[in-house]
This record gives sequence, structure tokens and C-alpha cells, in this order.
Amino acid sequence: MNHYGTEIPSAIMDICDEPLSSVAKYNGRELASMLGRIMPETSRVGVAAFQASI
Amino acid sequence: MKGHHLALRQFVVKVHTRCDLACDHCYVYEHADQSWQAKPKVVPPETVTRIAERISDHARSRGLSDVSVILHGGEPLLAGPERLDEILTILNLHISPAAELRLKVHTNAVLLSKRYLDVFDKHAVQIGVSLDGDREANDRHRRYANGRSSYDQVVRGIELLQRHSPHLFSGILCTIDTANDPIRVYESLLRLQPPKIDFLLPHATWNDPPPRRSETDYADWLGAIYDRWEKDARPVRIRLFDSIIRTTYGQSSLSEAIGVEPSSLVVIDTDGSYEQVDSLKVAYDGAPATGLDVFRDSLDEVARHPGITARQNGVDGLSATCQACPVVSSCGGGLYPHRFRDNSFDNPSVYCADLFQLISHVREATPMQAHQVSRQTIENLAAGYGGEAEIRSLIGSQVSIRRALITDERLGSAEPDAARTLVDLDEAFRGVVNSVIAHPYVRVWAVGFLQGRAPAGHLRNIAAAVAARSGTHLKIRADVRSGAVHLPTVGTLVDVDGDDLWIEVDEGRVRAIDGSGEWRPVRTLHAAGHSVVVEDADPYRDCHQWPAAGRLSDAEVAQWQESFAAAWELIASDYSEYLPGLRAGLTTLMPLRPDPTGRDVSSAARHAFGAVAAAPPADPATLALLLIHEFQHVKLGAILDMYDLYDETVEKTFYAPWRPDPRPLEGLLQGTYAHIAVADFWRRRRRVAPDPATHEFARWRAQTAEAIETLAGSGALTELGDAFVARMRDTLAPWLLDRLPHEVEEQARAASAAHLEAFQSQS
Repeated sequence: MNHYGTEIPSAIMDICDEPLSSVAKYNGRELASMLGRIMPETSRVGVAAFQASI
Repeated sequence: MKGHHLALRQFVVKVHTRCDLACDHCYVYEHADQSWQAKPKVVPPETVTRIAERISDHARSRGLSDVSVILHGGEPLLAGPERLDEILTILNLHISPAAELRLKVHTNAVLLSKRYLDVFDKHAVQIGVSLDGDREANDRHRRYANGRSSYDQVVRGIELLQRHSPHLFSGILCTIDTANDPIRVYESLLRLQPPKIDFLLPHATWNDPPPRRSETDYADWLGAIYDRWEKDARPVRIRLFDSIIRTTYGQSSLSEAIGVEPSSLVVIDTDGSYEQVDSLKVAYDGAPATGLDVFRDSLDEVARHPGITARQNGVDGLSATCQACPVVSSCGGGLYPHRFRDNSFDNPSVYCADLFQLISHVREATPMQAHQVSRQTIENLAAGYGGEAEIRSLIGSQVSIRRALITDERLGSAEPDAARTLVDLDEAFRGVVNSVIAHPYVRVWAVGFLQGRAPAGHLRNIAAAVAARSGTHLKIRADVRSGAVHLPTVGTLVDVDGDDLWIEVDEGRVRAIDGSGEWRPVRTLHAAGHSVVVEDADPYRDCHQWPAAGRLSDAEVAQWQESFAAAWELIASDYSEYLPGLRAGLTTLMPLRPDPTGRDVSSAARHAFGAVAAAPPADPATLALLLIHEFQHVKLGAILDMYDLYDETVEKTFYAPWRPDPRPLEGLLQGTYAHIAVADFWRRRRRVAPDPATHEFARWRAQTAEAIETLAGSGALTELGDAFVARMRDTLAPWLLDRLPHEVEEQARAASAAHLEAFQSQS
């Protein structure tokens, strides 16, 4: 069913037990795309972007 | 999207085949493929028109919301500002009516002037620049043909871009030479204040390996920059590092250099010929050629080309060595051309040792892990069921989403005191915090705030709710909505005076400091050891497709209690596979206004995990059906938060056998998943109520089966989505073999045919 072995990593980071003070630090970086995906303005499915342009 | 031909979304248009620099690491001129010599120097306008028409046709046929066109070369600025203006105008004219057009140009910037910038500004073209570091690093390779340095011209171009059109500056590409000092390269690029940087491994293959001083020379070089970048608190986006971090968390890579994302790229040369990714030029002469061109061949045909589809198979398309590698989800075998060896791409990258070391290094330094779900869990959920363990795994990710939402810096800026209070409460009472923010409508409110539709002040009430449930003493200015202060999962202070109200929470009790208002604790419904909140007060609950009911009277709550207990008992006896999931995940029942026509009304909302909304049902069996049906939507919503089951950018709509209107893919998937449970409900219900259960079963199994095939053939499912839908089909398959009375089958068939006919005549 998948290619990732027995566990399939999701797009949601596990911060259930991460102190809120630490979570706040990640916001805008690691967490930006995670929040982006639950709000409809962000496209989800990634494609391989041309590396010879940025 | 396995088994389908993925839409093409990125089009690299070569506008000029020559370059004013003679960089000795360039893949266009300095490697095996020399086909550039036979192409027109500048792309002619009639070719651009044909390119634009092909892209427009493809965007329409695939229902794409947006496409990217990257002007490339050679050096694209050699075309001159007037010709570039003409090219961009043609592209806009033909493509913009079909899809949002995102334009980029990649340049060496030596010619960049205000005239070019005016053209790029006019067409909103993002500009990327190549620069390999400081003067010494850059001039190691990036020189004019006569050996002269290009450094001053490039820096002048970037500074002009920063002064004149900083909003167009998209970043710097730096090709690595490990002879350069990594930190000096990093610092020199940082000084130019680009919004993004990417470090590119020099093109090489196993047959033509890169220069290196050790097996992990490039990893050591990049690792030094990574460590400094982390120490600097990541002052700039670095695409390679961001991609490793993102893929570590199950998100997509940002570049074809790593990751398992499918390729959606085609290169179009100045003669209109389609090519695969042109860095393949490093492999062998003619490697990128497809034999297709814009004058004869559509992009739908290009999407079917084996060279394009070969790079859309995710991990399946990688070598056996890669498939067994623990970092494959980040590495993805590296850049495709770098895998070439003796006429085959079925190899790890020539940079395999570097990539392994770098990815491992970044992962070790990265603090968080993604929620992971077992293959069996996904299969159980895909089948339409899912017990306590499966639902608990969804709940965990929902809590994480809410912790991210309530710590968003915009909320922290708007409500700094409440944010600090919550941080303090979280240190001592994390479980209580998580329990309060797990309330379905906390996420509804937080998303509403971030999208500018809800005030920030509810954060104060959330902090008060945590204080109340943890027995902490707290005085806080409450957020008053319509004369009431709602504390999620705790209760509501109603009939308070004014909007500026301070409340005191002490030993679990909540009161207004001015003494006004009446405290109403939340009410719950109970059944066989399980309870759910009756949410008739939360100001953010009215997010369903039907209006929320007002506060229920005690008599109405008693009626709900009776229905709920009876429905729960029915689920436990006749639909027991659904009970463990409901017990684990159903926390809230939100009463809706009854439909004046007497129709059953129920709803789930994507942001309100854990809640089912319903109008008072006609009988307990109806409530059982509504709970089972709506909880399917709740489950699938949480799965979609975690995983991509379909390509969200596909705007095409699809026939849904139960709707008069065409549905977007998510709507069709949600409906189909929910209707598996509806078909199952009526299938079992035949024993006690053959009429209408037999007819309903015939109808729902036929419609659900049809919808499953529509989904499977949509061409828009991801690989996981394909597998998910296949598992849905497995559940339904044996039900299709159940023999029903002939006339019932016929009626179901006729009703389906009539529905489809009505739909087709409307469309």
C-alpha cells in the first residue's frame, strides 16, 4: 500500500508534548507548511521543482 | 497518481541558446549533449505563440489552477528587453485565461538593467540569479570566454534588483565547489540579502564523477553551512536544507534535487522541441530529447512520454539500493541525471554517500518528528471502519494542529498576556491544555482568526477554561460575545454586563468579578459509559452547512438524551464495528435547527474534528445512521489533514450519483467514503426493517460503487489515494454480490440512470 515501510510519516508534526514555548519558536518555520495545508490557500501536492531556477 | 499521466505544471522555455559567460561547469555547453548548436539563437514569436497555446490547452484539459513558466537559456537576457516583453505578453495573452500564470526568469544578471526590470515588473516575473559565492569562489568557474571575472557585474545586477524591484528577487543559485571555503561562500551570499539560496551539486554521473577530496566531501562542505545556518537561526531560506527538513516531516521537497515528488516539468527549446529536464545533457548526447515538438504534439502527449513518466514513480522508480535506504523519503535518489551509469539511471546518485551523510546530519539536528500512522491503520480506516487505536492516532495529529494554531505569532501578538498564561499553564497542565484545545470549535475559531474572520480574544477564554479544569486560580479579561463568555468544554457565563468584563476562576468555579451573569456549565449526553458534550453555546459552532440551533431547553436536552442513548445502543448491537471509533472520537453533538420540511439534517465540518451536528432526529435509528455517516466525514477530514490523497490543484469537477451538481474531488471522496457506511447501515438494517432498507441498500451500494470508479479513474489521486480508494472498493465488493429482489435492483438501476440523465442534460 505504501513505500514507507510499516509507518507512514504524515505532514503533521508531533508537538502534542512539546512545550508551547518551543512550539511558538517553530511557528513560521517548520510549522508554516503544516498550518498552510489545513487552510485552503496553500497547494498541497508537491512536484519536483526545477532546480536550475529559484 | 500512479497509473495515470500526471499533468505538466512547469515549463522551462529556452528563450536564447547562447550565453555571455563561459562557465566551465555549465550543463548546457560543457557536457555531453551539444544539441544547442543546431537551435535558433532566439525563440521566434510564432514558436512562443504555439508554446503558449499548448500550455493553455494542457491547463484546460487537466483543470490546472496554475502553471509556472521559467524563462531560461543560455542566458535569457541576451534576447533583449523588447523581445522578452513580447514573449511575456504572448504567454500572458494565451495562458492567463486558462490558469494562473507564474513567471520566473533565471539569469546570470550581468546584463540586468532598469529596462529589463521594468519589463519583469510589468509581467510580475520573479528573478533568480546564479552566483557561486565571493569573488574568488565565483570566478573559479563563472568567467567570460576571455577569462575575465563576472563577479562585479553580477553583484551590480543584484544590487540594482534589490534597489529597483526587491519584490521580484527570488533568490540565488550557487553551484558548489568544495575548494571554496563554505562559510565564506555562505556569508558572501547572505550579504546580498537574497530571500532564498540554493546550493547545487555540480552535475556529474558515475561515468563522469565529480571532483572530490573524500567520499563525503560535499556533505562535509554543506554540513558546515548547515551548522552555521542553524546557529544563525536560519536567517535565509536555503532550499536544500528546507527540503530535507520538510521531507523529514512528511512534506514535499522544494526541488527536484532531492525527494520523491513526481516530475511535472518539461523543457521547450527555441525550436519548439520538447525536452525532458535539460540537466540530462550531462548523461549522453541527445539524452533529453523526446522527439516531440509544439507544432505537432500536445503536452498531453508529452505527459505520456516514457522519459517523463519514468520520473513520476516515487520510490518505486528508484534503484533497489535506494528503496532499501532509511533516508529515501528525503533523498529520493537525488537528481535524476546524477544516477546515470553505463546507459542506465537505475542506480543511486553519484552523490549517494554525500546525500546520506547530509540528510542524516540534518535529521539528527532537527528537533521534531512527524505523526506517523501504520500501514494497517490506514487500511482499516480506508475500509470505512477504524477502532480506538486508529482514531487515537487521528486525535494526536489534531491536537498537534491546534497547538500550532494557538501559538501562531499573529495570535501571540494580538493576545500576548493570554498567550503567556497558556504557556505557563501548559508547563504544569499539558493534558488539560490539550483536552481543552481538542474541543472541535477551538480549531474553527483559530482558523477563523488566522483568516481574518474571528477575533483573537477567544484565546483568553481558552486560558480561563484550562484554569477552570486544572483548578488554577486566574483573573483574566474575558472575551464577550453576544452578552456571554464561553469557556470551551467548561461552560458559559450568560447575561453579563458590557463587553469589558473580568472574570475570576477559582477552584474550578467561574464568576464575573462585577458579579453579573449566570454560569451555565456544559451539558452532556450519556450512553453506556460514554458521554458527549451538547454544544449549544460555543460562539464558533455555527460552521456547518445548516444553521445552529439556539440554547436548548432542559426538555429538549432530555429528548436528545433519550434519542442518543437509544441510538448508541442500536449502534452497539447492530453496527458494532463503528462503536469503538465513535467512542474514541465523538466528543460533541451540536444541535442544528430542524428543517421545516421535516427532512433529516446532519453535518460534519472539516475544522471541527470530534463534532457531529444534527437536527433532532425522527427516531433513534435515524440518529444512529446520522452519527455513523457524519463520523465518516470526521475521520476522513483528519486523514486529509495528515496525508495527500489527491492533487488539490486539480480543479476539475466530477459526477456524484447522489448530487445534482458536479463535485470537486474532495467532495466526491468525502461523499463516497461516507456512503460506504450508509450502504452498510441499510445492508444490515434489512433484517429488522426490510422496507425501506432493501431499497436504500440497493440504491446506496450502486451509487457508491459508481463513485468509487469515478474516483479511481479521476487521474488526480496520489499513490496513497489510489490505495485508499482501492481499499474502499474492497469493502463494497462483497456487498455488490448480495442478491436482491429483481424489481429492487431494477428500480435502483433506473433511478441511477435517470439521475445521470438529468445531470447530463443540466450540464
